[in-house]
Amino acid sequence: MFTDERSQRILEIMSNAFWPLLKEGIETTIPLTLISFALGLVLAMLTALARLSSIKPLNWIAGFYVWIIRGTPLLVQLFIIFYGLPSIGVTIDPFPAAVIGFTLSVGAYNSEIIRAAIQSTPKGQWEAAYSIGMTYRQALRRVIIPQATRVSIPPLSNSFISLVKDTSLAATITVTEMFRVAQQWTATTYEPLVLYIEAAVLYLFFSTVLSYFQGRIERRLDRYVA
Amino acid sequence: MIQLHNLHKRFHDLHVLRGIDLSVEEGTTTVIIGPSGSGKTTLLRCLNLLEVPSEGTLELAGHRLDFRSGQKLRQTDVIALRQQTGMVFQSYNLFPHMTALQNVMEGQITVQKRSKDAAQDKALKLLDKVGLRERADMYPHQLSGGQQQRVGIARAMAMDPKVLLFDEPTSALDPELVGEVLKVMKELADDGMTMVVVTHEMAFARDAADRVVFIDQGVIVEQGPPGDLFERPQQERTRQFLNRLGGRSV
Ligand SMILES: Nc1ncnc2c1ncn2[C@@H]1O[C@H](COP(=O)(O)OP(=O)(O)OP(=O)(O)O)[C@@H](O)[C@H]1O
Ligand SMILES: [Mg+2]
Repeated sequence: MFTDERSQRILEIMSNAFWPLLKEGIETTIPLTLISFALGLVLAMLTALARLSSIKPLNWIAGFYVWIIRGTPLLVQLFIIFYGLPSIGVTIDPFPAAVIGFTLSVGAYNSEIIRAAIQSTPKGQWEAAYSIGMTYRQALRRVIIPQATRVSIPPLSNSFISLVKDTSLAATITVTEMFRVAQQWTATTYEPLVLYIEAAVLYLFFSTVLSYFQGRIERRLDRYVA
Repeated sequence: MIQLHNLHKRFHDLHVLRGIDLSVEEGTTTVIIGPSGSGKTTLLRCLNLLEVPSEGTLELAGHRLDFRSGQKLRQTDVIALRQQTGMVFQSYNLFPHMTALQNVMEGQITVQKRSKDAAQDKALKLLDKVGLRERADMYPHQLSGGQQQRVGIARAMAMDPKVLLFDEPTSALDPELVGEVLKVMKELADDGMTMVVVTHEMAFARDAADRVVFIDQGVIVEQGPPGDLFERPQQERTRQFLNRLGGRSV
């Protein structure tokens, strides 16, 4: 096992690294997650509606986008955006490049969740909405989407929590987020085990807190379900 | 109020309605009966364009539409016609995320653009009429089937329809709840509402209908006042159908 001296050193590194890790978590990991998820949800909703639309070209564009994003690794997509695009003259800073990559990913995966939720709403709900004279848009907005939202909260929350963890990939395109800070500390202290475990614990902390809020939102929306 | 001329409906190869001619006078109640699969629901859904007829003419409350296969309807025509009709569904189809009151207010606010206060006043009056004013703030899942269906009737009425369409409004209900819904429907009929009702409740047909229409295999076989059609059916097919039904509630 560790000698006393070694233990002492490790404790010292862990406590020294704790605040910088937490700080990057709060200042970078969380904003990166929230911004990408919010933008991604808007994109997901538009994509789901495009895929459900009767306008063929919209179907194709949306289907193509989802196919590309789901069929290729997120890591590769981030590399294309950050390292690849500059060679055709498009240079994007690390943080916005990460936001773009994660937004595209969230948009594609969650559009399938939203589409499934909309399609799972009973046909009778559309008919009831139409029977009182609603248009497609009105039925969607007032009747279908509120019900689809309820159905899609659990899978959307899962995807949100995955995103918290996936943001660690941003380290590979030089975004100084929590994981990259752990890497930097490792490089100077040569204590990878404890530092990466410390980072893992912080990710666990963030995703647990976020799961807790997920539960609260679900309970709020449950009030009309038997 | 409603005129159908040579109305046809095909689902791909399936020819479900085969030339329906029907007229419904203002203020009357028409009951449609017929075997399962004969096209009753399809006919009713053609009246508010939940199904688009393949061929023929539909005239309803002054709106006239000609159907030819392959021809697309204009959205504005569809909406205009639907605003003249209200529909009550077998499975109620209340909006589960809204209270009874909100269900009845929804169309008034979203479609008719009434003010919230006006919509609420009207919704409360209608809920009162169907005996559910004290349940106004309950969600559908907190209501019995009979209560849900009465909310469904109030929701349809809130749009001031010229015609109310009912598709087997009581067949999903426990027998002891059927009466309360039929009672509300009878009151509407007595108030002079124009109604078209698909139902297996022969007692209701006798009691409330001005006209009973028997349809089989997509054609109207026979129609007439309930007394005539039930006591002196002219067609063999009608007789057979009524005999088979004999065991139930006739
Ligand atoms: N959307 C549809 N697509 C294809 N076929 C359909 C569709 N709707 C109805 N049909 C067919 O049309 C025929 C008539 O159906 P409809 O629902 O009008 O009968 P019904 O008289 O209401 O029967 P029931 O008493 O069982 O309700 C049936 O054979 C049915 O399978
Ligand atoms: Mg039917």
